[in-house]
Amino acid sequence: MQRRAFLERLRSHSARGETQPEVLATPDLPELRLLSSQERIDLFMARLSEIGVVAHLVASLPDAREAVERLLRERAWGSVACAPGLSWQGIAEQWTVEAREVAMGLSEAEWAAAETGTVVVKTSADERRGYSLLPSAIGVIVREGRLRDTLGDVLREIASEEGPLPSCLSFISGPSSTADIASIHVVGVHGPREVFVWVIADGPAPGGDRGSRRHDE
Amino acid sequence: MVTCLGDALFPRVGLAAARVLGNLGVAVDFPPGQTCCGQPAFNAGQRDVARRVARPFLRAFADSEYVVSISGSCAAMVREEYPRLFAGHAEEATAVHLASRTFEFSEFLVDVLGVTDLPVSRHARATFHHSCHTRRLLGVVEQPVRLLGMVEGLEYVPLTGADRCCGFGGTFAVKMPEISTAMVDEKVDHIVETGADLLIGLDMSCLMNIEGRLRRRGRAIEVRHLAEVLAAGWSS
Amino acid sequence: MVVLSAASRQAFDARVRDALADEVLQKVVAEGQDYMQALVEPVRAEAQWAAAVDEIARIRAHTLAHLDRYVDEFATNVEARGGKVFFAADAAEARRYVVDLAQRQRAKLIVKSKSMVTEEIELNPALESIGAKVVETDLGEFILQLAHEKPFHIVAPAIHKSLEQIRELFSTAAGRELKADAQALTEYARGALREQFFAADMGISGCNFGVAASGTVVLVTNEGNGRMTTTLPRTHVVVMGVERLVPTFADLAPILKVLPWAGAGERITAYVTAITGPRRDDEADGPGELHVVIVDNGRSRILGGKYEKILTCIRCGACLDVCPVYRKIGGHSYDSVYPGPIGAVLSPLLDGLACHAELPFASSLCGACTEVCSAGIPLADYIRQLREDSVSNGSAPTAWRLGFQAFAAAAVRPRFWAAAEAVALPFLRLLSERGALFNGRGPLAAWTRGRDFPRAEGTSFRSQWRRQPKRRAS
Repeated sequence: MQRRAFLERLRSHSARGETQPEVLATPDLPELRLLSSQERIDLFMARLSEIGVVAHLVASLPDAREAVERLLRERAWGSVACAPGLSWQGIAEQWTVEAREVAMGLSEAEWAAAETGTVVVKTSADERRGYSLLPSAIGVIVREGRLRDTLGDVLREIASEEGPLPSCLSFISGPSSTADIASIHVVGVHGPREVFVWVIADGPAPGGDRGSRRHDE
Repeated sequence: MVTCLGDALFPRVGLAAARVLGNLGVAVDFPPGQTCCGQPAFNAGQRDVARRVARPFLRAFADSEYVVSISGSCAAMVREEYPRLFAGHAEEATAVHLASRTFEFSEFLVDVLGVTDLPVSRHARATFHHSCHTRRLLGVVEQPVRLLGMVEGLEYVPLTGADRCCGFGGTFAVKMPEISTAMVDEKVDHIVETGADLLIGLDMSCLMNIEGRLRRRGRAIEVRHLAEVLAAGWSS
Repeated sequence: MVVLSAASRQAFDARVRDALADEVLQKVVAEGQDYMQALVEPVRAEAQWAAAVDEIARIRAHTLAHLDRYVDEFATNVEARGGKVFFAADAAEARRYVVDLAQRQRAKLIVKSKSMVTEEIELNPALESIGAKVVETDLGEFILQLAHEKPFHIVAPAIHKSLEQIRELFSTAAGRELKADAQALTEYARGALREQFFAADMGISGCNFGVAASGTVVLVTNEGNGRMTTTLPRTHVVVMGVERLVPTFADLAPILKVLPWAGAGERITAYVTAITGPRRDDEADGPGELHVVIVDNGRSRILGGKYEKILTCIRCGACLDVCPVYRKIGGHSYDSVYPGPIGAVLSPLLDGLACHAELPFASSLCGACTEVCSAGIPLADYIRQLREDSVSNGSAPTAWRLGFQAFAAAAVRPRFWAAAEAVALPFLRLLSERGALFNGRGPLAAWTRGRDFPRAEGTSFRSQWRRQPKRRAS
């Protein structure tokens, strides 16, 4: 059907009524509000663990790199796929179509949410979808300044940002899982089986100890 | 409010309720103009018939200060549905007024009369069936449990799956008897699991359904409306 | 029409009988419901939950009131980001678009992630008819595809299958005996489907929610197949119901507080994937083309009507997880794309009551569905209202109609009522003493086949009350 006719059919059936405002006010739900950056990190670490993520707290980016290298040695993983910016000498290898043979994909999170243990990865010219999807194990680096209290905070921030959204934003909370087989919970289905997160505790976002940018700040 | 079912098949429940209320100092009257609140027709989708049946029901209670029902689902019909059923009709105001005065039996005792203890005893191991409409439409959950707690000698065992329907559902029980029977079977299993020798409830429709299946399965567990337990166990 | 409905009822009864006799089904469905209830009930009791549900209802009601505007905005933004939008008035148009696209692109292998709408429009057979192989990649749907069965539940489509049944299915597909172990079976599926993802020409997905302000398609999943399907093939097709929109990204917040709990018993699903357009020119992976097919198929008819709230459903499955009828008869008994309480309302509204005559009556109106609905839909009330529609259509069996008329005639005449009782009740007592009511025959058979009839006292309350010493109000 043509667009105009399709929309007209919807319009003709709608019962708008006087009670519906033209524009909807943003939801203002009671949300978890953490007082300090430390609380935020603590909750994030706890939730990550709960959902099956192996999480480590490090002090700096160089420390994160060391931690990643340690993991690769422990597991005897020889290849990592990641964006050039994270390409640390000695461990990086460019992603190809055969990415499934790479032992681990490494990404940096654009945002993270403490309440749910979520990391958010976005696509760009350098950051490929495959890095956080195709290998059996994926690692994500999260900077403290990008950590928010809740998923709602992240969503609101995304909604208020100028400019178009990236082609793909992936909110990742733990490894892939299912309970479709007789309600038995199984970890590792089509997506990665293992998720590692390194949180770099290098100070909260500018604007104070609270990582969430609220309208009242 | 004795309900059509109560009037025809379970007079003892209405009498027990009247006795308990009388013992508590309430002047009890039975306006004979009441027959049926219209719920069976209403739930079967026969809206016009339901309204027709409900009209004299409205008039019957015109002079009653409170209307106490021995059935939670019938009380819910009056309280929750009557205002909508008569919206835009001449009887709308009457319906709203009646709704505001109508209570389920245990709700009336606890919330209106403020009963906190009763001279009632019954030595038995008992479990309780929370009827769906009583729980979900009236929000009556803890009142009956509180009243049970006032019965001396009563050992109360909670029922597994207490908030799951017993399968009566009005005409559903006879329109879809196989499904209904499967549902009441599970309810009976849970009741038997409690080891109770007495099942108490607030709705004779549910209790009739459960008792019918208990007996068919050869179970002798006694089935009583809360009002019966209170009336019978009242120390004079 | 009478003949049709008798056949329809017989078919329904046969499906119900099969379900009731299926011990595996009975056990698995009850366990599934109990498992979900244990996980979700404590969370539902929190004050936060009620606030989120109200918020969801508010957002969705607003969206529906201005649906044409939001669909317009959504489509404009999808196109601005390089995607293509097709407006499908009905199932046939939607099928035709996707089939034509598959043909033009010479798509031989198509991977699909779960989408109820694609079931509704019967897309798979249409694609298969042009020679394309369609592979369901959601584990539950994959199981169903092997078993040649329809979905049993809207969130966990193969919940009725036991571990052993799945083991057998997978072993047959694998050509070797697999272990009766959920991990091992999942490993098999992962391996079998991974090849397909990489080889596929086209990926088809549903859409949990479309965000109008940005033209974003949001998928809420756990397995990762949603990401694989929408990342690896060169073309990504989204099929979505026209009502699945929210105005802005922020409006997802209350939905994501509720949907993962109600649908999967967890705080958040492993993946929430927000797709805005195909891949950018400078990106190295992702589909080169994005097509969004927006499907009406009867939804606009529901808009603005007394059942409008049914369109606010977020497909969480909570109603199925608490329905005592579903617990006994399972998803297939409903014989519709959407089972359970949501299906009992949506299917008659989309397909017509005549196609689903029994569904509004296959409910005890217990209200559990209304109580747990994540979007505040008055499901039990809608089911009852569909019965009213059925009666107004003249579909009520004559016996019932006359029965109610007779009952009403007595009920409005209290003196006649009392007289009728005086005659009928002693007779009833006589019958019950003779055991005539306990034998599953005669007019009370529908009751007495399964249950004993109560022992009648023989007199009514009102006649006994009259004989009592009076205690009149002062």
